[in-house]
Amino acid sequence: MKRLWVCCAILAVMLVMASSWVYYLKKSSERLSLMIDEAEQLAEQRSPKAAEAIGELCSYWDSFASTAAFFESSATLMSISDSAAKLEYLYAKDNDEFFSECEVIRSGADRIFRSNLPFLPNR
Amino acid sequence: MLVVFLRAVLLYAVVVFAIRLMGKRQLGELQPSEFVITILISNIATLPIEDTGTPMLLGIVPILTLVCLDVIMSAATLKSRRLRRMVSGSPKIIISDGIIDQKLLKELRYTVDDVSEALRSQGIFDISDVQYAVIETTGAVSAFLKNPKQPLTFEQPKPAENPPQVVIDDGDIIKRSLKFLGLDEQWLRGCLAAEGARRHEVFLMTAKPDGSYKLIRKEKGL
Repeated sequence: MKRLWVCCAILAVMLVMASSWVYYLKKSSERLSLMIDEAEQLAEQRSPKAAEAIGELCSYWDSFASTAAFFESSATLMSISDSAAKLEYLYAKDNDEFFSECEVIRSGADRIFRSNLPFLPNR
Repeated sequence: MLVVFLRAVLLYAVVVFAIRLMGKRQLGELQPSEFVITILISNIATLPIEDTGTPMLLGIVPILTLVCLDVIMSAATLKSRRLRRMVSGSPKIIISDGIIDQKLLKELRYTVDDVSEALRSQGIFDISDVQYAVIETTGAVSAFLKNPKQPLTFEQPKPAENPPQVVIDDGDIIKRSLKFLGLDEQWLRGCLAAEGARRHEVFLMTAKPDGSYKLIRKEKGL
């Protein structure tokens, strides 16, 4: 009987962890999307605050990626981290690829969230 | 290299814990569901060890989920005989009074060679020596020899008869066994009345074709 309760407890913990993870991914991808919007807007205006916004975006992505590494495959995270690492350089060089790399990060984070949903979401 | 080593150590601990959680039943004869789970665990455990890009949790979560579901299913089958039969199947009598049930053998996709091989592994080389044989839910064949072929004991030889059958299992009447013994529920009710026991109070009751029986009551608190 003790074994049964241990199993029920393990299953409950895993269910809570999985649900919390999906919730965390949703919130993180939403926040990341807002940060990208802000960074893109400031970069378009060549605002002095743009470099700061890009730095914040990169550090937020780094903290998200280190948490996500517990549940997500490293190949997916690495390809997005590569894009994040390029942002500051591309902005400094005033390269248009800055915006495409921003979209890579946005769609990557969104893809990670959607791949964790147990159903096909309506788009 | 160090990462692979540490992953292997961690997954070893998880798999050992998982097998222990499945309990002692796992270490003996495997039921079909346990057999499937054992194979699945061994496959799942290799993926995160080999591929360092796969998170450890993607190996640990399915292993624990499968084992927990198996334990919960085992507990459920303990309560419900119908569920137990659905999950593990039921033993089938393939030889009774020395006669092979050919129709059943065909249904089970067992050949005479399979049965002979299983009997030979028990030291029985002539099917006609077998009084009664059963294919267990694990696929093993259990055989009961006819009286003249039984090993010698100090007891007086008894007339040839089939071994006792379980007629009440944890409060459930096994109608199949009653039919096999040529007895009926009226006889069973008579026995229970004589013992002063109600059906749900009986843990195990076995009976023989001659109507003799043994009854074990449930212990209190079970």
